[in-house]
Amino acid sequence: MKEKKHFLPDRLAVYGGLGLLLVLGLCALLLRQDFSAWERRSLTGLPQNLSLNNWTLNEDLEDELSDQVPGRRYLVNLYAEAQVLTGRAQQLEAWPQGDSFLEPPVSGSAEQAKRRVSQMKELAGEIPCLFLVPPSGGIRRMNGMPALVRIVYAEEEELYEAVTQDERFVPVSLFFSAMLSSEPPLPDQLYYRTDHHWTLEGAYRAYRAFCKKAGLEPASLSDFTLTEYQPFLGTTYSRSGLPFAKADTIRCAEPAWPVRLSVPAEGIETDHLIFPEEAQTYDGYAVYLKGNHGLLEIRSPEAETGETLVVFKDSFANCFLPFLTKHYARIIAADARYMEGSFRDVLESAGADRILYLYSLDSLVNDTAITRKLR
Amino acid sequence: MVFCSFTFLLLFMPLVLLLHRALPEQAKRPFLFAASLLFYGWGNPVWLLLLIYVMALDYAGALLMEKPRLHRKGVLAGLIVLNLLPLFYFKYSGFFRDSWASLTGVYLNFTPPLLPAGISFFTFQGLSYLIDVYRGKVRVQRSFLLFGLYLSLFPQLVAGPIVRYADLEEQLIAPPRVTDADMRAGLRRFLIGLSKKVLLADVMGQYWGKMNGSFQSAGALGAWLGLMAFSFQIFFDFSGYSDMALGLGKAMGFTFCENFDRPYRSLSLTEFWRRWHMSLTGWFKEYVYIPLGGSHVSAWRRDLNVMIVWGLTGLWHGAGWHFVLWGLYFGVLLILEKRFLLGRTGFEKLPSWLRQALTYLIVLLGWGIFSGKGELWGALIGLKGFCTPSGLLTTLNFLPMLLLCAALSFLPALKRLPSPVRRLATPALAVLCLAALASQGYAPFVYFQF
Repeated sequence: MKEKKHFLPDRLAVYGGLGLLLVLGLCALLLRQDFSAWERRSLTGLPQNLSLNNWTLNEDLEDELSDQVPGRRYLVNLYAEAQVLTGRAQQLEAWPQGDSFLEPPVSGSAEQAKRRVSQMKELAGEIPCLFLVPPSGGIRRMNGMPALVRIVYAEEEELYEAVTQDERFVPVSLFFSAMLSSEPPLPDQLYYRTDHHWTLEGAYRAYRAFCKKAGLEPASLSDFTLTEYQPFLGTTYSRSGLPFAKADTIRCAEPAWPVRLSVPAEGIETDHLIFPEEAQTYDGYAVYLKGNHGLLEIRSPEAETGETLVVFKDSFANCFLPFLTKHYARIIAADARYMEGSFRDVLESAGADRILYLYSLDSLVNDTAITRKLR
Repeated sequence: MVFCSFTFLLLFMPLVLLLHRALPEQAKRPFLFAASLLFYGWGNPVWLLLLIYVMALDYAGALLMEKPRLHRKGVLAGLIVLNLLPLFYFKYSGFFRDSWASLTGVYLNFTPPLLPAGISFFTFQGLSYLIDVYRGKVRVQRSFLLFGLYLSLFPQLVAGPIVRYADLEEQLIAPPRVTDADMRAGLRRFLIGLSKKVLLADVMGQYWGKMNGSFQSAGALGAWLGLMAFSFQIFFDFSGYSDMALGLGKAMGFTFCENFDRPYRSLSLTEFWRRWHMSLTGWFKEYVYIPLGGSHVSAWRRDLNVMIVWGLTGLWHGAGWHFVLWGLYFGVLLILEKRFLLGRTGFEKLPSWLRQALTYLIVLLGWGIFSGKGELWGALIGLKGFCTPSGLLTTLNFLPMLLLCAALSFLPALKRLPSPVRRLATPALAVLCLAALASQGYAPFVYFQF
């Protein structure tokens, strides 16, 4: 019988293939890392504390090998590319759209979100409160999308409008309209390409809208010290798993007047709100306020008023808060995901004159931590 | 341990295959036996006790049947009961409790245990051995090592094929010599199976999961295409597992029976069941249908036998009434097909594509019953609307892969790929499988729950 001719001899193919697999496995066991910067998460370690009653060796070792397999990043990149090539771009955790990576459209129950808003208003009681809810970056980019993707984002837009009808919401139409004729023109990039947050420009426009609603005179951007950091590759890029992206530049606005930031739980006490050293870390967005904290306080002795503003927030507020130091002598910001106690505890201890709820639509609709803290 | 886990692919498989190749002949079988026990006990060492119980029971039971003074039929009946008891306890006690509660209103207060992997498979293998010993079709295996190896051989231990002892006896006693070419061919077959599972079945499973997660969003379009995706998921999942089992077997010198033969190309239901899970169909035919009288009885009795076999086949697949209904659905349709369609000119003259499509449609609706999703039927007939934009977007996302799976399932196999493609295919598939596993982890095999 005629033997099949192979490109590689059988012996080399068999032992080479099996040997390669074994080397990958042994490397995954022996050359372990604790943290994956590109995924922004801790990696699983070797299984520990096994017992027959709670036998998890199978799952634990699998998690370890899956996390530690050499070249994991390239494998994930390759599979993400394969998904895009086979039409499954919208099955990635973040959707590629032009040169951007978008969060999938927010979905959830408008009724549930409205109930949560009512609870927030009840919590505020007599204290004047406003709501500021940035929509996702996807809504801003709907024009360039394929029709069906646009329709799906339009569903988010409907949800947004249903949730933000209350008069205490800062109207979204004011956020991003070209209303700032007296200002120098801003770049039209209101959200990062590679991250779900708004840019300094997006936050500044929201700040202008907030001031209008709150009856304040907004500061000019030129009142701040502006700095830039690059390259910045954010969360949506990481979550997409795709290999290539046009990096962003982070722009920051540091108040030109004295400020004092303190995060007692973490021992942070500084006279600046921007942390340039964070720009070079895996989480470049932590350049604002050194990232997320359960509870922080910013004092601004030269502010227009001596009022205390309590901000219940998610990470969208991090680049927004510096603008508010122009108006409020004391800003207390609480993040439900990391804080101890309840929102009521914060209000009682802070002596709030005003309240701002600043949450992305996704947080407002779906973040269960907020519900817990409202109880 | 699961074939498509990193633990298996990066540690267990290469170590076992390389050591098996390197060891002297006399050490190979003890080594494989130990490796198989490790493979099974890895998921839960306590389950090893169950496997060893079945092993010891069937090994000793077969020896017992040789004793001249004993009533062989009685011994066999006792052994069958003792084999089925664990299966009933682990797999059907919860089902029995719920059915009893529905029937009588009395709720038996106990928590059913976790289902040990592969219990249906190795129990059936053990039964086939005992029955064949009783019938005198095979000799009693006096070596516990060889019998244990037959029952526990890791490539086919947890999801088949259900290999009969008669088919493996010679290979256990005198294993054929394994060449590098055998290993290469075996590993290639394994890789094909892994690709079916990881690159096709799991993707189809994701789509079906999204559609059946919200039939409101899926609508009629998503329900039909989702059900098709489910049919492809089951096929590529299980036939992929069988390919992996056969490939691993070949790499170690064992030849197992084939389990699938492009079943969605069948032109009738009878043909479909000759091509789908052939080792199970063969098992029920040999050990249930024929002892019940097979075809050598009156027509109504034969139909009753068919219904019994298919009711049991359904029950074998899962502890739920929808599985029984699924089995009986095929029982009825097979009887009708045999009586009114097969051999009739009108049916035989239909174009083959139409017969293939009709057969697939009936099988597809069967998978609908099998899925146990009650809402599916309303969605299929349009009660949930046609499709929402998000459902349509998801469908369009998965459409290329759905079409690929359809082409691989329905069209004739390519005779031979062009040489450059063939050379690239093996490493490309291997890297893609690793990429998919690194990216998404592995999904359990559908047939593990049986």
